Amino acid sequence: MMGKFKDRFKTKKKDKDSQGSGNSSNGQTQSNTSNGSSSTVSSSSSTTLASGLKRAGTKHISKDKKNKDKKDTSSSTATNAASSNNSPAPSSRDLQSDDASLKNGANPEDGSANVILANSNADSPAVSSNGNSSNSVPQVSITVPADDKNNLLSSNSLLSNSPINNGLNMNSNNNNDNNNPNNNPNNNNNMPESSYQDGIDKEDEDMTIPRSSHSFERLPAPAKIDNDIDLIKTPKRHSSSRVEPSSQRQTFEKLPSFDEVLPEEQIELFLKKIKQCNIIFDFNDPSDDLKGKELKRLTLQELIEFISSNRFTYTDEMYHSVVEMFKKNLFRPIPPPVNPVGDIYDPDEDEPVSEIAWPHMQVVYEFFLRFVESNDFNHQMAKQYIDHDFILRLLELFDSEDPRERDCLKTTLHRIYGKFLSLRSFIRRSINNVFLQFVYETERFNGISELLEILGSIINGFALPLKEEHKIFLCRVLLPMHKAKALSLYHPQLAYCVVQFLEKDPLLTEEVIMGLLRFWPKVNSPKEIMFLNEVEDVFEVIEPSEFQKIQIPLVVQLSKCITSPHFQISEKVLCFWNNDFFLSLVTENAETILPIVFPALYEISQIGSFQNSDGSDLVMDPSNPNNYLDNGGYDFGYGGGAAANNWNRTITSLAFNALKHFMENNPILYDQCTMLYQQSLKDNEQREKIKKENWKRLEDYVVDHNHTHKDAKIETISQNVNELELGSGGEQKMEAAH
Amino acid sequence: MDFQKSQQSNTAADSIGEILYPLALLMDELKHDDVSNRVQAMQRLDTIAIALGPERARNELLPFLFEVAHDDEDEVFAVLAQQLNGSFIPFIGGEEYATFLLPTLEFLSAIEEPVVRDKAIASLNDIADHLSLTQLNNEFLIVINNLATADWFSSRVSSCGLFKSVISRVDINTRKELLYLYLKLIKDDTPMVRRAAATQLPSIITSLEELELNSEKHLDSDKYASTEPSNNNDWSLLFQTFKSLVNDDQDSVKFLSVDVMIAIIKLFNAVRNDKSHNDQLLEDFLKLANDQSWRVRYMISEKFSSIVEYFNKSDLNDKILNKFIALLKDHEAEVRKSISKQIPDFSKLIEQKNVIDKIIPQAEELITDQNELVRSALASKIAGLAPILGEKPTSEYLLNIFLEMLNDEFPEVRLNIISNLTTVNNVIGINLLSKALLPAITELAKDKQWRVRLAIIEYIPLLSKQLGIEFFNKVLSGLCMSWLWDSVYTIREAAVLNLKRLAEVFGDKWAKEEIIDKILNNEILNDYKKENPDLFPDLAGNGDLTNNEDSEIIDGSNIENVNNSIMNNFIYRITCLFSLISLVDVVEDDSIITNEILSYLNRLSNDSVPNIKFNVAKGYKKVAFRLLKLEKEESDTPEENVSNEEEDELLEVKALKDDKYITKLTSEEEKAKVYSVINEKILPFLANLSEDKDIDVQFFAKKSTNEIQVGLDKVGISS
Repeated sequence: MMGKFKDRFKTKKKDKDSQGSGNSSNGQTQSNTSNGSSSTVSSSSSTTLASGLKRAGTKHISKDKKNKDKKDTSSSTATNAASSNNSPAPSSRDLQSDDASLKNGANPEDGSANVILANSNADSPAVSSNGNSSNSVPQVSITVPADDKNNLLSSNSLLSNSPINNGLNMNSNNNNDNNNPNNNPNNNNNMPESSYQDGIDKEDEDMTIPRSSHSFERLPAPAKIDNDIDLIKTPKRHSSSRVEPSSQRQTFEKLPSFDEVLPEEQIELFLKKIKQCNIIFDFNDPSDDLKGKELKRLTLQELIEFISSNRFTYTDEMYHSVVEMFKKNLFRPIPPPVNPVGDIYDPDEDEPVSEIAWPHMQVVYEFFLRFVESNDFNHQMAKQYIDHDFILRLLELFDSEDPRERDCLKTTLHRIYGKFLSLRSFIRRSINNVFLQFVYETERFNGISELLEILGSIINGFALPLKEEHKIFLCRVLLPMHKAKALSLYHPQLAYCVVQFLEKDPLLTEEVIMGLLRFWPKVNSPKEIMFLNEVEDVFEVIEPSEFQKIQIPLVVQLSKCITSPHFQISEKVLCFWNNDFFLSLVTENAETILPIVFPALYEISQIGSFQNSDGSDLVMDPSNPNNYLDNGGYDFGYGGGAAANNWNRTITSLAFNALKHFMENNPILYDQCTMLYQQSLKDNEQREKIKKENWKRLEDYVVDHNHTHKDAKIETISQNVNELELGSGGEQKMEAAH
Repeated sequence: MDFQKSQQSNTAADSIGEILYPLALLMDELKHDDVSNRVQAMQRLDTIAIALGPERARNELLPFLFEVAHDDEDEVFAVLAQQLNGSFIPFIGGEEYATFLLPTLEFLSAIEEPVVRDKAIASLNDIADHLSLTQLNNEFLIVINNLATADWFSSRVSSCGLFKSVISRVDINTRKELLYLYLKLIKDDTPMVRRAAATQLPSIITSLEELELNSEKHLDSDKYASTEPSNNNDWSLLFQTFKSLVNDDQDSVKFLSVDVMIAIIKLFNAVRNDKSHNDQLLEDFLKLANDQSWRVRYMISEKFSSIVEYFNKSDLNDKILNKFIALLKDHEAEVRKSISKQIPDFSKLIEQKNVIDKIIPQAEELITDQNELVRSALASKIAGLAPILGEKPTSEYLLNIFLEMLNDEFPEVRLNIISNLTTVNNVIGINLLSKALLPAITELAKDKQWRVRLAIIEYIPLLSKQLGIEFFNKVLSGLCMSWLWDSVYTIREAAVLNLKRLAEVFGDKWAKEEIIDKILNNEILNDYKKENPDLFPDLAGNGDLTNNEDSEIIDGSNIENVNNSIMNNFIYRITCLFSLISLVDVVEDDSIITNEILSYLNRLSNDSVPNIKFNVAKGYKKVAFRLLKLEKEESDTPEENVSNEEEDELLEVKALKDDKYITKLTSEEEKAKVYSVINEKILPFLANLSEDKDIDVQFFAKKSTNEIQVGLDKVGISS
């Protein structure tokens, strides 16, 4: 039965923008992000590129532009397709297209004109292999814009850039594939015990599978253009140097390539090249040592190619120098944030921030990733270099405002987590500390969603039964994360993690729901929508027996949401009634739920015709009045019908339908509730009055009895009382009066 | 269920304590669904406690609260933690029972939410002051120990905040134990705890410092175990904690060590007069100033002068100076910003030669810094160099910097320079300054940004005082008048306030000649008109000043001597009205008020715009009070009269009844005179306004009438 429900909701879920939808979402996000970042690179570089390629023949321009557009659209469509339905076919097409363009970019001759030719050639096969998905091409290519020079350039840079993005894409796809067997919810019920074993271990096994079939094994040598000053970008608002350049000027010498030396000298050359890459260039000055910058980039590319295409035993010195090089190039204090006060950096609101040294940083990340992923990589030997301090510094970098860097970091940390068993608990603990600092101290950290993504896949691999440590993590770290103001920046990932936990251990449902209720937003309606989305996610995995444990407090909150003045919130809750599983839960437990939810629904759906046509429903049935008030002492706060008749027609009809459902399923109960509702309106009023009187008398009593010996105290008390009565405005007045 | 309970409480009746069921009432409220109700109920905790009496409060209320602390929302906890502070002790039977509060607070200290925790810690520290030494040793130390060794980080974070209230009271051995415990906290695994420990360390050092000072209160043997100051053992422990902070691997912890360093340096140099540690500290200081993380360097820059002031002169002029210059050249703008604010303070500590040779050239570099915030920071402090350098070097080196910064494209930079001119003025004299200054001021006064204009207006009284009345009349008066007709209300409001302050500076005569007479004769606009002929294209037509008040223009029949239509504008009249009313406070000569100002009010009292009329009504009250010489005991800030009008009014009636006003009017003769003025020139008009068709006018007229009546009673004149 569970499986059936899940099936049904699976389709509905697709529409939701949240990525918490299926288990595929982890991979999906990754590939989306990397795809997005590649297009960012190309578009922004087109505006900032120097005029280095001016001399390229103009006759290629229109063609090139056309091809570039084609390639762009086709590859992005392919990636989108791959990410949206996760089936092997489209993703292989994605590989193909990228492969094709890579292969062609791989053998360029020197000189820019040639490259352009190669470039346009390169694109044609890509187009043909994706012919069906590039419908929009003709429209785009009709106009040849005035700044065709830029287009030309950007297409070049896109090409030279693509290996890396492609590589990342691959990684995420792989990742996705790895997770798949574990994730498919359809399989969950019939899964044998063994499938619940630690997913990371599983991943480890997967990692040893040779990847010769993947494209990055045949990485191209990057286009060698003398004037290819690509990707030099000025940061949007900052001018502070992010990576401090080496203090003394060192020249970056060109060393022989790996093919030019004897195989036994290659290791030595490798070390030399790594050492060379410790030179840091000044990217604040775009024209500074262009040659050196380009050489460094090429050297790094060469290194990538070398370690991915050769197999040899890594020496201790290699580990040492590679880790050192990584640290030198990337470990740096994160510069002051774009918005020093107020809200955290929000990619939707703020302009994108880019690391100016990114062209180098990117290749360093890429190289390191290849190094760690390599089959020859021995974590026992690397352990002494990749230590606790390394992890901490890596985590600090997650605060970077450049989304591309965070994406690389995510993959890097995930790999390290996979490889280094001994570091796992330390990594988890350190991430916890980052989260706790974020929630309780600073409310600022840019990499929360990336860290949550990593955790999502970690949680997925937790062994059953869950360790106490992990449960504590859920209740005391993940759930309080709902508190933060910037929740919208990472909510989908957070919800995904929470649901992962529930899939592992349904008994945690109570803790989760009670946690959500505890942190339920009081006034922030966008946040409330997120909470409701998460509740909906939880419904997909909830066990009916678990639902009974939390139904009362949950439904109390839901009925409050129904009467929310914000129609989206109200609508969101009422749409739960369209969910068959929810409906069945509600119907089964109608005895408990209807009395709670009735006033809210009734007040909203009160339309004249309803009462007229169904007047009989209002007949009093005094048989069981206590049923209503005896719900574990919860006070439902009926609010005297203030919210009656929501202004929004849709809401009214949705509420009416929900009510109708109850009426049809259990008419007797429904009548009771109607009766009780009427009565409670009166009772409540009186009750409030009595309560107020009691307080008044209590205060009078206190004031009278203590006048003799505690004068000063009384004054403060009566002032307190006044404050309470006057509200905050009164408070000011009282203060001013003194 | 709750309902039944409260019903019972209503019906059952005996002694009052029984009827009320105070605890039931509280429980009932705490079950309320709406958190604000629960918070409110919590706020009345002391009422409940009093009603219960000390014994029942201890035996029933406190256990109940302990339960509550396990199951509610943070908002409620925060109030609970706050309520259970030292002033709650009397309700549970006095200090001997104070420890009964500890369990609940200990529990609340373990909660993650910092708001709750901080309140709980504050309450615990408060209670600690009330505890006897035995209670402290037996119970409070256990709380600290429990929290400091708890598993979850939040308890350990909280424990850091508790040391300061006990460390100076316990005997020397316990102190040592506590310091060891603290050392453990500062080396904790989680950065959150380390940060909390680092943050609290200065306050612990301060309480140890008090012990050094051997104040009398430490002799109270009930509260203090020993008067013996900390020994070297303690200090070496403290140094160890400090060292561990400086070498922490996380920036967020390391940068907190700067405050600790200041506390230590101060303690050793100022209190103990022990310079032996300075070399070591200097080394740490230079290390932090060289740190890779900009946050650490920023912290060092922020506190630079207060750290280095105790180091010896030769270091100051050598190593430390070099570090200072290096920080001024830092590649991170935030660091440059904070260090440039330290220029004057640091310059005080070093030789003047070094200031001129090393610091000034670097400051000149910063004038062209690409970050405007750096320039602005420099501008705000650079004037402080003038008194250090003296007259000649100032005009030689600094004046150029000022002039260049006055031409900065970023208004805040110019503003910061102008606002610090008093300091410079004292050194180089007004003549030199005014020549260089005025163009910049006039330009800023016309800045597009109204906030910039506003800031300039605020400096005018200060400037006028320095420049003198002649200079003002010649140059600035036109400017001041033109602000009255600004298109932004805030500027007009500030301009009115400005006039008032100017009148304070220049006296009655100036106020009458330059403002009051001009308003009465409709000449106030003359200068402005001359300067801005384009704003008055057609003097006979609808020369509307603000362009958006067309609807408010009325026919000019109400006002005499109307010769052009701008006078018809409502804004014009209301600004004049506000100006005059504001002058009531500062004009000393009663006759100006009774003759000129009152007559203008009377003239406007039959205006057609209700806003003017009710402002006239308010003005009458003010005039009457001024004439009766009724003054509030506490001086009221002038802004209050304008900004929160309504609240103010409510207060005034209250204040009147509460004897908050006193009169300085003494002789009967004067009283009679004032009474006749009020009776003839104010009350009839108010009576008229009370019958206005607009209800707001009615309201304020009636209100003023009442208040004047009360005022008259107070002075002792009855009609």
